[in-house]
This record gives sequence, structure tokens and C-alpha cells, in this order.
Amino acid sequence: MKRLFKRFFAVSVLVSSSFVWAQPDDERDRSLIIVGSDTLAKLVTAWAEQFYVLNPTILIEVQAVGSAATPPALLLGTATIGTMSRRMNADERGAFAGRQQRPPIEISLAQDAVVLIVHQQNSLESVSMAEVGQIFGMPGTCGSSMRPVFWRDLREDSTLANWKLQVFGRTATSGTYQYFRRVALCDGDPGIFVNELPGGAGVVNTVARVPGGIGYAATSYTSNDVKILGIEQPDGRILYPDDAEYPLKRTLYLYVMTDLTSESRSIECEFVAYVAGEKGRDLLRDAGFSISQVPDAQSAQDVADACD
Amino acid sequence: MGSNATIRRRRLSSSRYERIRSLAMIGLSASMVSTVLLIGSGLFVLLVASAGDWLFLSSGRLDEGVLDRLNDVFFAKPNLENGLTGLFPAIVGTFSLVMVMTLFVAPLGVATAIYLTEYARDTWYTKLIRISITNLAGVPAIIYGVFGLGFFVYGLGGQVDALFYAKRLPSPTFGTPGLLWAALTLALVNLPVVIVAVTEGLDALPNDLREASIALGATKSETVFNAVMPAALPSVFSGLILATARAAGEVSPLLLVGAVKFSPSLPLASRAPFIEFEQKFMHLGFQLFDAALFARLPPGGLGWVACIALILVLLIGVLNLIAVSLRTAILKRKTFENPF
Amino acid sequence: MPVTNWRHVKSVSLGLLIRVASFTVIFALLGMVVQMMVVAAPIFAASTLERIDAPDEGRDTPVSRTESRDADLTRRTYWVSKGGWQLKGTPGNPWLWVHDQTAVRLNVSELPSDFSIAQLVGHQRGLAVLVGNTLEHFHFSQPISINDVPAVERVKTVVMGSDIVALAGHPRLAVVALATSLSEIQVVDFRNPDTNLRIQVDVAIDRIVWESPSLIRALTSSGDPLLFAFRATDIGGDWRRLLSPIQYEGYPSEEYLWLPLPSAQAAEPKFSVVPLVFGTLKAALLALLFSAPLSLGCAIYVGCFVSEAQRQRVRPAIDMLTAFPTVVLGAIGLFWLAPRFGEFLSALIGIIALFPILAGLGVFVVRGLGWRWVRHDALDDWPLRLLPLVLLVIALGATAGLSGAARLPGGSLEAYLLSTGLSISYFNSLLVGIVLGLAITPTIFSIAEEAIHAVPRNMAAGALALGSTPWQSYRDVVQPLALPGMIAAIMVGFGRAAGETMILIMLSGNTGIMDLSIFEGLRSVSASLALELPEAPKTSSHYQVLFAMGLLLFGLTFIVNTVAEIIRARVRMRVRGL
Repeated sequence: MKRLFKRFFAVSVLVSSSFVWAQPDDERDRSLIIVGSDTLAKLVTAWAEQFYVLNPTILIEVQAVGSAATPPALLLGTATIGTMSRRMNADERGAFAGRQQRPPIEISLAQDAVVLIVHQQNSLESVSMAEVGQIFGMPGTCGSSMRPVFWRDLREDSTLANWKLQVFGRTATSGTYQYFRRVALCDGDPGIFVNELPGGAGVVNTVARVPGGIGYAATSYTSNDVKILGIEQPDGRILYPDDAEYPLKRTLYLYVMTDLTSESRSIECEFVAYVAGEKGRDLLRDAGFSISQVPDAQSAQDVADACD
Repeated sequence: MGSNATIRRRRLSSSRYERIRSLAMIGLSASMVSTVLLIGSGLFVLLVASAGDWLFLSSGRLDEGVLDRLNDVFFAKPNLENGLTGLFPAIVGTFSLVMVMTLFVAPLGVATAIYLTEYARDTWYTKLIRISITNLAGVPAIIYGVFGLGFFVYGLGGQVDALFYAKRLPSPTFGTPGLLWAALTLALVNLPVVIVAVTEGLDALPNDLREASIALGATKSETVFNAVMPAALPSVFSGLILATARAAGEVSPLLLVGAVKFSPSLPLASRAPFIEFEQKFMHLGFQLFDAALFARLPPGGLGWVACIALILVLLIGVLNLIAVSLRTAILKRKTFENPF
Repeated sequence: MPVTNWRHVKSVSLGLLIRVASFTVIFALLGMVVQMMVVAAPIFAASTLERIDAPDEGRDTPVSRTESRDADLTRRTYWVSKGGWQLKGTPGNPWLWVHDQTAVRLNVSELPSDFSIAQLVGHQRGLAVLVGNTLEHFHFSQPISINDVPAVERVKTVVMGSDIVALAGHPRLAVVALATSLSEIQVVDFRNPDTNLRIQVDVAIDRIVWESPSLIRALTSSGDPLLFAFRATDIGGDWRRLLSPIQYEGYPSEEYLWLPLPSAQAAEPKFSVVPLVFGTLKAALLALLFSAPLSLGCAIYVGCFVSEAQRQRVRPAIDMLTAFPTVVLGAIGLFWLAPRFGEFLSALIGIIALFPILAGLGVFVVRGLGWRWVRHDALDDWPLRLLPLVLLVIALGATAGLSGAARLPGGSLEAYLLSTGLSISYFNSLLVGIVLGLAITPTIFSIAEEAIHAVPRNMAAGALALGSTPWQSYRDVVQPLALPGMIAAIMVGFGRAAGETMILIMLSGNTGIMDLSIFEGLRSVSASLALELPEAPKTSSHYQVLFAMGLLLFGLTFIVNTVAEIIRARVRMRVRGL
């Protein structure tokens, strides 16, 4: 027994010391912690990966559990960069003032759209915003009355007439949920019958598999497995996510905690510069977002310039 | 059903009906065992088939071979086309977590077990400890995460930051989820398992051992550490390995106290103490959870999830097997001393 | 001599260390309870109002003066609707919606014209109107179309004792502060009108203003303004609101709702623990339903009918099921079982339906072949010998079930059920129950098997010697003694199922409904904890309610485990004497 124990101990010491070789030598006193929205998770992870390749001495950690994580994380200092798929509201901003801390720098990153998706076999092509309130909200949301239970309640000629509606959405901490609630549900209550899935990809994967399914997700998660619905306007037009006036367009934000007045250039500034640069923008486009400008917010390039 | 074990007054006829019935009922319960074994192996086969299908059969990028796929499994960098992230950092992270956790759970678990078997008399205090152990074993893992977050991360971590890392505030060093707090939380989760295993091992030792040691003039602690413990060491290992299995697979506390989706740097360093305790880390179970719910899966993506699940299950299975063989090794040693 | 002393000292000090180390176990248990209680405690506090001299620094975001001014709708208007409809009201005249561009006027019949003061309440989602001595609370619902006016609904009416001089609406909550003609400052919480928060002052009050969500400033004609601190939780200071049905703003009837709506400024969060506890219990009971026959059957066989050597082999084999962590089971359920659930269900029904028929057939076959083929000896090998038989039953049953389902009108089980109006949700309780049952099977098996095995062999052997069959010996001798242990095993399994998180997050759909149907989803306490706790702000009511729920879950498992342990201890005592 003792011999076995000694051998086991020796082997484990050797094995763990071999891991040491996997790690480059460094001082590691610069770290970058990014938290925030799940919608931007893939993009931020790809950015972090590339940024790490360019700056191997920086320790990077990415956490993407929801937009609501960003303000408290920035406030407590748990993270220095945060992404949100909605704008920080007055309460969250006020918390920084309340603690006598300078507010985070707001950068409008890209434009994204929240789309309504159904199964490929569903004959539905478009819905009105009123119907969206009926489907996704508690009874009475947006002035609606009866919730459609079967697909024939929504469209008499539906190919899935006798199937029940199965509604899929995000969990309450997701920025997409909060945006959808404010805009598509008129600040009302989402239905308790809505299946809450933690990630945008989950919504798309599930709706692709459930014939009677309908859900909402950010465009960057949609794939060819689902059908994207148009939104009917009162004047009869049907708008799709590519149209400029699509009602569920939203801006994605990047919040940076850094002191622009300080002498040395902070890592956060470096990261913003990277994001504003060629490589960063390429990844942004590859991720399916469109680079846009919101009038009352700065762009990444503005902040990068201000950093210097 | 009387309170004494009286045999019910019933005609104990060994009629054919009774015999058939007996066979049938026993057959039914035996078939339950078969079913369970079937389900277990069926799940394993399912994982292997899905993972194998993705590795060998599905066509993703045309110029990709099996070796490329295997390389992807372990070393892929996250990119935008697919949701793959190499599992090597997760394996290292899981391994580091288990090592640090063992560092904490072993002394505490062994000490408590020694206390209960060697030192304690049957007082209210020991009864309280035993009740605590059984209850800790039954507490949902998420509650440990809740406690870990409140006590370790914000409580202890906040204090450590205030005392030792005040210069870095408000950016927290230890006041935030990390490897150390995750390991401590999992140590608490596994404490009952280790205690029970070591207690079993200590109970199985014959009293002659202790009596002989005392007779030779050893003090209490000498008896315990030089005579009893070496004999019970295998049970310590089986307890630890059971704990390891749980640490690799239990995800819910980690959601709150330490694992992250992506961290390109391993929680290791080239200087002492060789492990970065304040860093967040990647973990196999967490990666599986993340891949199942958050990732946009690559084509044939189910297979990717099955890959992660398979590696995790294999890891745990191997550890369980070691525990089992160690246990049988203990039992084999006892045959000539003790009918078991 | 010094040598002996040193050894003695070492022994005592090591013994001390060991005792200290053993204390960690108690510390951990107590620590968890205490920590959760400390964090959850504020949610149980009633609302408070007290007079203060100076305001607390940096507590809450202050309310701007324009916001206070615009909240007063007594004579002014304020942009309430996003469609540009202004709400105009003057005492004695009917209320009107006036469109800012088209100047269309619409009567608001729901609001009373004979009012004296009107204040916006709760971040512009409500209106508090004073009619004589009665306070009425109205709620706005935003329409989807900007051409429609918001719907107005009366929520509550509170009759006040004395005349009211001044009124101010809280910027976040459905709460108003008022001053009476008897120089009393009072706070009325529309969510919980029974709260009695009033302070007598000795000066006449002119105006009352909310400086921040927790600070009231009362302006007097003479002298300095008076300051009051107000504290209320998001559940209106009444912890029973966590458990009772509530009629929330904008709802026609009382409901049990869990809608914490984090980061939503203008919405009323709904914290009812009832749907979550319902979901947890439903999932745990369904899991027990599936797991109990399986695990108890295994426990009976391994504990009673198998030789010692074989038992050492079979026990670990069944424990191999624990090699599947619940994440893996959840992932398998999500990616393999859920998409095929209809087919799986048909196969299962086929197996259950076919099994008695096949068993009966089997009896006839064996009867014909003679009983030599089946004996009570060599019980050890039965699981392996029966394996092909079990496989056959499963295969036949599954095929029968699937083909039977294909023959149903509609072509599949799901389609058939749909035609009768019953639809199977993608994430349903049955799915959760099956996977969760699989997860708790090893636990129940392990404890029940121990209990059965602990019954002394000589008693069972005695029954055999007296001529009973092995099954009779089990049923009449072993089971009565082992029954408490088996019950304890089930209780522990129930506790584990109640606390399980991963499977519930992935497979339950997290729908906060309270539906008895097994084809609908559910929402559990543990899943809500895991999904919402990381993001909840530390000082919010949401965080505190989550900890209170954690305490509830802990308490439930504590009770279940303690009772189970008492049962097991008693059984151990009983069996020891035999």
C-alpha cells in the first residue's frame, strides 16, 4: 500500500508539474475582465481570443450571463468592461453617482434586431405587434384580450391549425428579455407560460425542433433552421429585420470603466482601440451585427481617439 | 406486521401457486436490476455513438480529418463559425479545482472521522455532528453555491481584499468568484462523503490494533497516526476519489462561485505556489452546460455536446473504478482477521 | 522524563486540533442557515416611517425637481403615453386625453372628475387621485399602437379618516405620502393598505415631496422642512404576500405569480413563492413515481436474494449510474429524449401494456417446458440470464407501442392527443420526472439496499426452513423490518429530487405555471435560484426573496433528511437486538 501511495504521489506531482510548461512566463499584473450580454457573448469571446494573441501578457476573463450583470459588476469593480444589449437605465447610472464614482463610458457598438421565429413548417409569414403582445404577454398586455391557444386561433388557415402554440423566450436576466418586454410587450408582463431558456441559441435550437413553436431571439443567433417572421404595420406594410424601420431594432452597447484623463494608456483603452480597428470591426461584421451610429452615443473610434 | 419479527400467520403452503409467484416476483426484481444495467450501458453507448458519429462520420469542413477533429476537441480556439472551445483548458481547470479541493477536504474529513471514531464519547455534541453530516449530505448543491457566494466570496474575500489587496480596490482580487472559493465550496459539498468513507474504514479496523498499540505504551495520538491511520488509508483514498468524481460533475455551485465561459490563461503559474487562486477557471461540467444551452452548435452539433459529456463521464468512471478496486483491496486484506 | 512529557503534550495538542477540525461540520451547517437568514431577514420586515434630522448619504438616487413637479397632475399635464397622449385633469372637470399633434380629445370616463389632488405614482404607471376623503389608485396599461390611448383601471380604494391637505406619489412604488389637516404625516401603501404608518407633527404642512425613494420632505409654512425616512420592501412590507394570491396592478383577479422583472424600472415585480414550490414538489413526486419501482426492485433483489460475493459485484455496477452527473443526464434529455418524446412515450406505453401479456405467455411457456428450467437456486445469475428477456420485452413493447401509435388517427401519439385537445409541451413535467427519476435511483437504491441487507439472515433462513418460498420469506419477514429503511430511502430520494438544479434548468421549460397536467412544464425553486441569483443586485428585494427561498428549500431537505435519519436510527436499534 505504502509503495502504491508513494508512486501515485510521485506520478501526480510529475503530471501537475508538466502543466507548468503550458503556461508562458509572465508578470501577469494586467488583467481584463469582461462581463455582460449573452447576445454579444460569441463576439466578445472571439475578440478576447484575438486580443489575447496580440497581448499575451494580459489575463482575460469573459463572463456572459446577461446584460443585467454589467452595471453591478462595473460598480463593484468586478469587471472593467461590460456589454449590454439594452441601454443602461437611469437607476443603474444613478448608482454610480450615488457611490461617487465616475460613470462608465458608453459606446454604441452595433445594431442588432430582435426577430420572431417559428418552425420551418409553420405557414405563418408575419404578425402584427398587437398579436405579439397577445402571444408573449400575460392576458391584457398591450390592450390585448384573448391569448391564442391553438395556431388556428391566430390564423384560421394555418398548416398547424390543431397544434398548440408553444412559446419560447429568454430568462429574466437577459437583456434581450428586458428589451422585448419594454418594446414588444409595452412594458407589461411576459406570460408565465413562456418557456424561459437561458441562451439565445437555445431558443433558436428549440424552435427549430418544435413544430408549434414560436420565439424571439437576436438576429445573430438565427440560422436557416427557423423561419423569420415579418412584422405587419398598421398601414399594411410588412417589415423585415433588414428594413430600416423594423420596430425591434436595438443598439448594443459597450461600457468601459477607465480614466481618460490618466497619463498611461489603460488596457481598457487598448481594447477599445482594438475594437474600433480593422480586425475588431471585421469580427463584428462576421458576427452578423451591423455597425451603426446612434446620435447620442459615442462610437468606439471616438473613445479610442479620446484615449490618446 | 407486528413490532416483533413474528412470521405472519399464513398458510405456509409451498403450493405451486406460491412457488410460481415467488419466482415471478423475484424475477421481476431481478429484471429491475437488468433494466438499470441496460439503461446505464445504453446511455453510455448513446454518448459514444453520438461522439463517434461527430468525430468520424459527419462531414463538416471537407478537408478535415479525424485527427483535426480530435485536435479541435482539445485545443480549438473559440471563433464565430462554431461554438467549439477546446476542452484542454477545461480539463486543466477541473483538475486544478479537484487538487485544491482535496487539499481542503482531506484533512478536515479525516480529522472529523478520527474524532468520531477514536476520540468521541456518545454525547450531545457527537450526536449533533452526526446529524450535521447527514443533513449536509442532503443539502442541494445550489445552496452550497449560495452560501459560498455570500460567505466566501463577499464575506471572506471582501475581508482579504480589504486587508491585503487594498491597493487594487475597487477592483476585487479575492472578493470575486475564483478558484479558491470554488474549491472551498466544493470541499464543503464533499465533506460528508469523505467523512462517511473514512469512518467506515476506521470502523472496519479491529480493536486489537488499537489495544496492542496502547499496550506497547503509545499515546493516543501516536496510536491514531502511526497504527490506525495507515491501516485506514485506503478508505481515505476511496472517499477522496468519490469526492473527486462529484467535484468534476457538480455544476450548480460553480454557476455562482467561479467558473467562466472562457479564460485563455490557465489558472497556473510558473512561480510558487504554482496555482493562481484568485482566477476564474474553465470546468468540464460547466462547459457542457454552456455548450448545451448557450452555444450555437456546429453542424452535427449534438455530437459535440456528446464529446464533452463522454470525456466527463469517462473521467468520473475511471475515478469510480479506482475507488471500487481500492475498496475491494481493503476488504481482501481483512479476510484472515475478520469475517466480513 | 522530558521525552514522555513531550509525547504527551503532542498527543493532547493533536487531539485538540482534531476536535477543532471536527467542528467545521457543525459550523458549515449552522453557517449556511445563519447566512441565509441574515440575508433574507430584511424581506420580512414591515415598512417603516420615521422622522429624521439629516438624510442618509448616497442611499438612493434622488428624484429630480422636474420629476416631482411633473408628477403632480392636479392641474397640469404630463406625457404619459408614448403615442403623445397627454392626460389633462382639473378638479371639477372630466379628465381628458389630448393628443399633442392632432389635438383630438377623448374622455377618460374611468377617472373621477370631482377630485381634489392627483399625483402620478410608481414611475408613471399609476395615478393616485383624492376624491373627498377617499384615495383611489389607478393603473395605466400601455397599448401597442401609438394611436390608442392607454387603458385606465381602478386598482384600489382607500378611505382616509381625516381631511388630506397634501399628497405626493412615490417615484417607484405604488405608495403615496400625505399630510392630513390634523398635522399628521401618513404613508399609504396601495399594495398593503393595512400598513399603519403615521407620524404626528406639531406644525401645519403645506406641501409634501419625495426627495428620493426613501426620503420625504414636508414643507411647512413656518420654519424648516421636516424630513422622514421611509423603508419598504418590494413586497409591501408584508411577507405573507410571498404566499398568498395577490391581485396585482392591471390584473382582473388574484393570482400566484413569479415575475421578478429585474432591471425593470416601471413595472411592479411579482414575488410569489407558491408556483415555484408547486413546481419543485411536482417534479420531485413524478421523479419518485418513476424511480421508486426501479430502485426498490433492485434493492430487494440485491439486498435479499443475492449471495455476498455477487452483491459485492452488483452493487458497484448499479452505482455506476452515478458516473453520470446530472448535467450529462440533462444534456441527454435535452438533445436526445426531448425531440423524440412522443415516440418515447408511445414506446413506453407499449412496453407497459405488453409486459403483463408477455409475462403471462412466459408462464405458460415455462409451464409447458417444465419447471426444471426455472429454479430458485442460482439466483445470483438471474439479472444476466434475464437480460436478453428484458431486452426482448423492451424491443417488442417498443415496436408494438410505436406501430400502435402510427396506427392512431393522426399518425403519431402527439397528433392523436392533439386531436383530442391535449397537447404535449416540448418541455413537460413527465420528461423532467423520467430524467430526474433516473438521477435519484442510485441514491434510493443504496439506502434501501442497506436497510434490507441489515436484516439478519437467520430470520429469513428460518422462514425458509419452515417451508416458505423465498419471496414469502422476504415479504413476511424481511420487508416489515426493512420497511422503515425503505421509506427513509424514498424520503432521501425526494430530498435530492427537490434540490436538483441542472436537470430542472434544462428540461422544465421554467414556466411559472401551476398546472396539474403532466404534459405541461413547471418552474422549480432551485432553477430560479441558479438562473436569477448571479444577477440580482445585493440590496434588492429580489436577492432577499431568493435567499428566503433558498432557506425554504434548505428547511425542506433538512426536515426530510432528519426524519429519514431518525427512522434509520430506530431501525438500526431494532435490528441490532435480533
